[in-house]
Amino acid sequence: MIAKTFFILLVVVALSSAPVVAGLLEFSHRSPVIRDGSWVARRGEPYTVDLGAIKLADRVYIVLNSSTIQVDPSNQMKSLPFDVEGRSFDYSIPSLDATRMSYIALADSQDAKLVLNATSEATPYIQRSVGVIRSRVTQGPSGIEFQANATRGDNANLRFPIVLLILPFNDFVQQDFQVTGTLGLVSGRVGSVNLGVVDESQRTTFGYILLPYTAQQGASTQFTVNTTTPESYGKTASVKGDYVSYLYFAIILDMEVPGNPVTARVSVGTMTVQNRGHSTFLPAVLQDSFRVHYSIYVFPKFIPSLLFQVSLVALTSSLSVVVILRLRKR
Amino acid sequence: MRKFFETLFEHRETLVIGSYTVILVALAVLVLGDSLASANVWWASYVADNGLVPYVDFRPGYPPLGGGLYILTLGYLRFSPVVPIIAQVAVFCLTVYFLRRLIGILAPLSMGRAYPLLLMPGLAFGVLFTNDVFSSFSMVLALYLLVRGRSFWAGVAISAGFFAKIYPALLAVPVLLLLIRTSRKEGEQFFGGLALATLLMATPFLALEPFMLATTFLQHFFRGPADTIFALVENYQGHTGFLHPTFDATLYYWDFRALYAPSRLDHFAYSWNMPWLPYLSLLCQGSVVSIPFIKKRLAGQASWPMVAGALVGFFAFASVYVPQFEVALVPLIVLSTLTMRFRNFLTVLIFIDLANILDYTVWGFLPIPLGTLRPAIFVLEIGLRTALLFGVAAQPLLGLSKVGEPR
Repeated sequence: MIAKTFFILLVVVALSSAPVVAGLLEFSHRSPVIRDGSWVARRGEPYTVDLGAIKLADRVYIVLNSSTIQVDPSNQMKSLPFDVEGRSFDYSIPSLDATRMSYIALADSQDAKLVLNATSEATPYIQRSVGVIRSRVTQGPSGIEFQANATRGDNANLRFPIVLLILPFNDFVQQDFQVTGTLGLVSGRVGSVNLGVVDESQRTTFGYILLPYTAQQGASTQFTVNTTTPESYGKTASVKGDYVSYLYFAIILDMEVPGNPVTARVSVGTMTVQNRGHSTFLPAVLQDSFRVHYSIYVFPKFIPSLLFQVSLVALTSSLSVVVILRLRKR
Repeated sequence: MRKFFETLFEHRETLVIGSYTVILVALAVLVLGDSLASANVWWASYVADNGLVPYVDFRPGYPPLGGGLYILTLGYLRFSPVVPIIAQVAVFCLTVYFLRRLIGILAPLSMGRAYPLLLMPGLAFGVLFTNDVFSSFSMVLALYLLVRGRSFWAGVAISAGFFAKIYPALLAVPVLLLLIRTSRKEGEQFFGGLALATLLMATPFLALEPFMLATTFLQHFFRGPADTIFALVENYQGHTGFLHPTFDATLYYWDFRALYAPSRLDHFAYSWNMPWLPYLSLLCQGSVVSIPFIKKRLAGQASWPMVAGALVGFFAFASVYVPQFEVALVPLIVLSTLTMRFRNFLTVLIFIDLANILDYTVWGFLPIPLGTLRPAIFVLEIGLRTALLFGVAAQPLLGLSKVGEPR
């Protein structure tokens, strides 16, 4: 009797394995589609990327080297909100120098597309914000002017909303490391304007105050930060020899100053970053048109068929019965 | 009055454990207040808020019993974040309860050695904020059931631990090796329980999305080093590398690897300076776990502390360590050191807890500024913990102590 039951179970296992294996193999033949490209972005001139055919639940992932591009997916796609472990921002994420967006296909489609729009002129910086800040970029007489407005209603639990102007660095800091430039407070009040050095070796950020909270309208500074400059928040270690992923200018608003919204307009002049005997010059002019590189990935997603599911349940149930019979036999 | 005190004494175990639960949860709520809400909640909320189905659309960091329950209670049912904390403390108390009963069988005079676990602040931190208590509970329960001759249910307990936090499955290896040598029937019962429970728990998830379930486990096998001697040799001083956007967890692991080039900064797509180092770690771990199998005298109660010692050795040779592993490690340490002098045993627990508190501090989980001392403390805590783990594992594995011998 038991031998007969084992034989029947063996047949069920064999029969149910086939659709399961076939389903898995069929999916393994679908490989991701990757589209790399670039275009010259101009405000008001949308650029369309055709994704071709996508299937239900496929993941569409886009990586852009700009923070001023808005992506509009076709209506067969649902966008997933960006957050990093519950926060809208994290200093150490790889998204500091790239805009990452992710979508899930809601249906099969033969002509899915993404429309890419430049929302402003380009600056040499990747712009991010901590907190809810409305910002505007304009060309001023002494450099690029960043205007930031934050309301108390939008930032209820945040005293210091920040606009970050990020520069990828990705190198080890040498003896000749130096950042020089000019900054000015055109109008409004700031908590401070800092230079941040994201030190991955020490897992910390070195901060250098360039414009203090006492800075008045019209104040400006010509600054130099190098490996011997004292850190403004009490760190005694040096960045020399460490791996630095990013530099950034932080325009920090203080929600405790009078007025609602709290506003500040900061002018950023030309900057020079020197390291390893090489200087990078960052002009203080806005560019109407700028080249944006994109990588778009369409990752296939497995959708099991009913046959697959029934076969799998039959397979695992049979195996379970085999185990039970074996144990009872003992 | 006398009767009242007698009743209290009679129920002293319940009183101790009950008071511990109340005090710990109250402390967590009073001291941490609002920040409590951020523990464990963000990914559960992300899944629920965006209409994602866990293990189909989204890969949580833990398997279904360790992650799915959090998504259900915190994400979909919107329970207070205090609820899982109470559950974690309650499960930990059960762990202490079964550990005490297990020690009572192995070395009745040492039963009280389970109680110091309730007085370890570093351990309590891990109990409050991580789900490692499920691993701890499943391992202690499995060993208790094995000692009681309930091998089938021990297999079920380990399988449940595997579906909560993966690494309790490690216990299956030395246990199976041991049972095969001593009692083939017990071995089959154990393996049967393990296989049956695994099949039953995995089936619904495999039928819905086998690749996403696989990703939940796979992502952990490609992690870089952290907080171990191998991390020091590799000169990796990070904890778990940079954080990723939450929506990266909607991708299969192989798709994630296509997006992120292996890097020294990314713990989940780590590029080793010395690619042979993880294999060396694995070889050492395999060797230490095999010791109970090659030892000649295996039968009887002396074998179970040896199994616990093998697992402690496994952690000592691991390339990845996170301080919350302490929650699962300490019961194993207790079982490995049953014949150690009580004073020495307490010293081991104090220093293990100290090493873990330093570890939490180095990574900023405890708000103690370390300044320029951070690298020195980083090396100190790794050295201290590793030396202790080696010492503890050596006790039963090298026959330095045997259960039943006079202390």
